[in-house]
Amino acid sequence: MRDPYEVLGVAKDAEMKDIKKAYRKLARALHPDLRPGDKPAEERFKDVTAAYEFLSDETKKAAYDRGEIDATGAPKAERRFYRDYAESGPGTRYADPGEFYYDAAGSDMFAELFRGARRDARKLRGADIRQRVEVDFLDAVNGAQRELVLPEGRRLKVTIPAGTTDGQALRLKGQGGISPGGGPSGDLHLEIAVRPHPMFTRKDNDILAELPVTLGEALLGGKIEVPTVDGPVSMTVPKGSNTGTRLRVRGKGVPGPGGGRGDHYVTLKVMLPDPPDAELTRLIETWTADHYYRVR
Amino acid sequence: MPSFEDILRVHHLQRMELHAWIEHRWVRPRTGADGPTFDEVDEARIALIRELRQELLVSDDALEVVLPLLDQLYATRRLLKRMEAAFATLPQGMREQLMAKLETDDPG
Repeated sequence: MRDPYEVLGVAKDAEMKDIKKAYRKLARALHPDLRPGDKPAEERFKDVTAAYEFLSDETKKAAYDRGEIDATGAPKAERRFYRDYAESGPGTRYADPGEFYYDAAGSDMFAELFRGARRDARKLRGADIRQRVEVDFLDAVNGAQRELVLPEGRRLKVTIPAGTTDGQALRLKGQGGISPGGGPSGDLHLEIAVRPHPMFTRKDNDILAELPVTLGEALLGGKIEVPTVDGPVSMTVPKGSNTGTRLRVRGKGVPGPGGGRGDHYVTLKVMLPDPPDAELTRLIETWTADHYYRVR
Repeated sequence: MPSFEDILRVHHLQRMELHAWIEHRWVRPRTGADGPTFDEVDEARIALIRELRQELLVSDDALEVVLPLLDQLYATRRLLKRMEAAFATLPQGMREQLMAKLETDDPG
């Protein structure tokens, strides 16, 4: 047990009447029967009571003040409080209707609650249904129609809007469970999982992709065809491009909610001929002999 | 079951006190063949009243206010427990809806 003076919040040299006063103040605030359901208060009440009982015993108090004993006492039997009975069947004895004592079960409150409950039951919405839907990357970007089979077997056509993101929730109002009481149906909540694409990744409303180019396309530049979410488009690779060169195709990204569209970014990746070309190898042998350049 | 005399002895009460409490209907024992008999809830209530008066110095006038309030509190808590039990028998979907409503609705 903690220091009983500390538990009661009084000084070590407090007089008995002040100890008593401190105890009463705490006990009134913490008494378990006055605070049903408040477990921490009950624990503190027990500590406070034990501390008070300890200090009320003059022999123990004097010995403790002299430092001869500590504050541990023999454990007492668990006390059964009034609230242990009052919250269950026996407690109804103290709630006779007709007396000035109050009985919630016989009062307007109960009737009101059940009147409310019946009214609500008629209006109660059907249950909400949650379902996970996997969609292809391009369908999520461009939007698509999908036919779903709901848990109860019902088929439903839904539109995946263009620009849908992975993890996005779509709520279809009134497409959930049917209300038992003829009230409105629940909602259908779709959680969208977007499958990854082999070439494209998405960053906000932009599409990122790697674009392999030949040595000649990188070195000499030229018009090439670039796959985008919108189909192939033509793009000019500037002369002297390299692996890692980033180029933008404007407006070929993901449609935004406001009507705008993100961009398509490609990162060039220069590819040598595979298998190696004998002529190119000979050319590079000659060239390398007197053209060293630092890359590391 | 303890008799009137048993209660006086166990709870260190004066005859007058316990008579008055029964008179006020703070304590409501059953009536047996040889006078009132007290069961566990009565005893716990007697212990509470004794403690409120003697330890916490709640006056009899204040007790007239406090006890009915406590009885209201416990009646409400019994009702809550019944509702909790009824609530547990509802289908999961309805429980979720009710929870959502309780969390969002401001009765004010």
